[in-house]
Order: sequence, then structure tokens, then C-alpha cells
Amino acid sequence: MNDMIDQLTRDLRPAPARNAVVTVLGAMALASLIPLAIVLFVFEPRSDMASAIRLPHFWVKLGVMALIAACAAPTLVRLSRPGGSAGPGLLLAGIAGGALVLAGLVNLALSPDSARVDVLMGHSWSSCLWKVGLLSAPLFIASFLGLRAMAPTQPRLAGLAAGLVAGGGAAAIYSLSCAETSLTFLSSWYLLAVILVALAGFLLGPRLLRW
Amino acid sequence: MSDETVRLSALMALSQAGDAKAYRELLQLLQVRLTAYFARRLAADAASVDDLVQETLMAIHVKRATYDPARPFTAWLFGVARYKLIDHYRRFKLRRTEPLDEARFAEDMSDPVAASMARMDLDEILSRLPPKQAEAIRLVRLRGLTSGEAAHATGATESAIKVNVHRGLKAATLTVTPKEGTGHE
Repeated sequence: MNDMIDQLTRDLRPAPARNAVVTVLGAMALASLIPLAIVLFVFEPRSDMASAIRLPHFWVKLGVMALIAACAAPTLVRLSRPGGSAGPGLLLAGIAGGALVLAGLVNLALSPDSARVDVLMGHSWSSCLWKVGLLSAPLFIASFLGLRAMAPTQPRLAGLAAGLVAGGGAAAIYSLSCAETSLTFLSSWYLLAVILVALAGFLLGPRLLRW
Repeated sequence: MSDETVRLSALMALSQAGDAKAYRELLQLLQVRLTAYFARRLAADAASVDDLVQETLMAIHVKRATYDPARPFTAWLFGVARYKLIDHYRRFKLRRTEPLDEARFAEDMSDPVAASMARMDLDEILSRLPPKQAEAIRLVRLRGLTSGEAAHATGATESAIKVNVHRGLKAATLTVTPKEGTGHE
């Protein structure tokens, strides 16, 4: 044992405290340039952008998805270090998601019978799923690389939080190119996409975040 | 913060700055604290205590940059120690010898899904045994009857019950080949 302490002492190099916000969220912010570029140059922003930004649905879509990511972000930072507790972030993200589902159901109930299928399915539910999934990949990878540079001791929860931030962030970015206007669409397909990314984080955390 | 926590936090901050003397002192103090920590939790597995102390010191070394000097060092330290302990439990599938102070870990272990999976494994193993042996094991080992009560319940003799439990357990051990330590995941 003393040999080991000698060895570690000999190996000591300065290791300034690593800032978890920069390491994890900074990496994700940098990585978000990739989904942003994809939305701007490949998927292209919605063609009616100039008029859409004056309507509430545009901001609700962007805002609620960004809110879910923002709720989970502090938890992601806290869980990146030993001894950090998850805090209320995951619960808050869940409440935001639950409120969205409720609003989506109310909207569905208030819609005329003939419009319900459109309100729920929109015109782009399948591309919403795969595009949000694709856009979330760079954010997801960045969050896991950031976590690996830190020392998460609860890999499942850390992975879940990473997935929520990556999924919420990707969905917010995707909303710039999505012309759906229905709250019910947002509460089903957007939310499902975010949940799938979060689930991926939950499942991959224990495998990829070991140290 | 206790005096000791303040002292350990200060030593760790100096170590992060590259002060080898502070680092040696810190590691020696931690060795004592970690040995006590793991010994309390691994009463039935004392041989692993030194391994875990070494592993944890190594982890502390590798991850030392993730300690934030603005926070108490002991929370970080025991976060690392607990992580290594849970990792150890997973790898060796040991039973806990003492409840951990963290509800989080208890949640992991008392997970109803895991419990019902263990139950299904057991049913599966018993179903591969001759019915009389499986019945004897169920009555005596699972329901906690005495051999006499089990004999009475089944109409077999007491010694037949004992033999069936013994043979059944032996056969069951042979049918269950140990898997590499992948845990239950």
C-alpha cells in the first residue's frame, strides 16, 4: 500500500479543478453547431419563418423543448461529479413534459372530430422522430464525452439527464425547420423523440460511463 | 464542515496544484479512512478491503481534477468510495453485509423488477429438477417448514424429504453454471 502511495505521489502533476459546466455543457454547446448547421443547410428552416416568428406556436415549440433541456442541465452538471445529488432537475423536466401532455390532450379534445387525426399526426410525425434523433446524436456524444472527462458515480441518472438535455436541445433546434402548428403534435411526437433519446442515455450510461 | 473535512479539503486543493508533500499526507489519511469505510461494509469479505482501498486511491488520483475546491472534500471522497463499493458488489454479486446510508443504492437493490427476475430464475431452476426434489426444496428451504412438517404435508417419510432436499440442491448447483461477472444488467 505504501508503495502505491509513493508511486501516486511521484506521478502527481498539477491537475487544476475541472469546471463541470464548461466540460459537459460547453462541449454540448460546441457540438450544437452541427445540428444547427444541418437544420440551416440540409433540412432548411421553415419557409414561412418570417411570419411564423410572430405566432405563438413557433415559440411554444422552441420554448418547451428548450425548457426541458434547461431543467435537466443543472442535474447533468451535478451528477458529473462524485458526491453530487441529482437535485430537482429531472422532476422539473418531468413536470414540464407532463404539463405539455395535458395541454396536448386538451387541445385534442377541443378540436373538431374531423380535424383530430391532423392535429395528432400532422404531416411530418415520422420525420420529426428520426430528424430529432439524428440531430441529438452530436449533442449526446458530446455530453457522454464530457461526462467521461468528469467522474459520474450514478451513470444511469447521469445518462438520463444527458439524454434529456441532448433530446430537448435537438428538438428545439429541429423546431426551426418544422412547420407543424399543433400543440398535440408537439406533446406527442416531439416529446416521444426526447423520451427516446433520454431512454438511450439511461440505458447506455452504465455501459459507457464506467471508470 | 468539520475540522477534518476542512483539512482534507485544503490538502486536496494543494494536491491539485501539484504539492507532492500535501498529496502524500492526504493519501495516508485517506488510506486510514477508506480502510475503515470498506471494512465496516465488507465484514464478510475482509480480503477485498485492501483491494478496494487501492482501487479507490487510484480512482482519486485519476479523477482528482473533478474535485471542486469550493465544496467539502468528504462528499466527493465518499462519492468515489461508494461508487467503487457498488462496482465491487456488482462484480462479485455479494450480499450487502450492512445497509448503506444511501437510499439510492437501496433502491437499486430492492428494485421489484430485479426481485421478480430472481424469482423467475429460481422457478426455472426448480422446474428442471425431479418433481419430488423440487417440492421438498420449496417446502423446506423456501417456505421454511421443518423436514417433519414437510413429510406430513406430502406423505413422504422425513428422511426421504431430507434426501430430496440434499440431492435437489446438489443437482441445482450443477445445472446453474456461473456466468462471468456481468451483473444483472
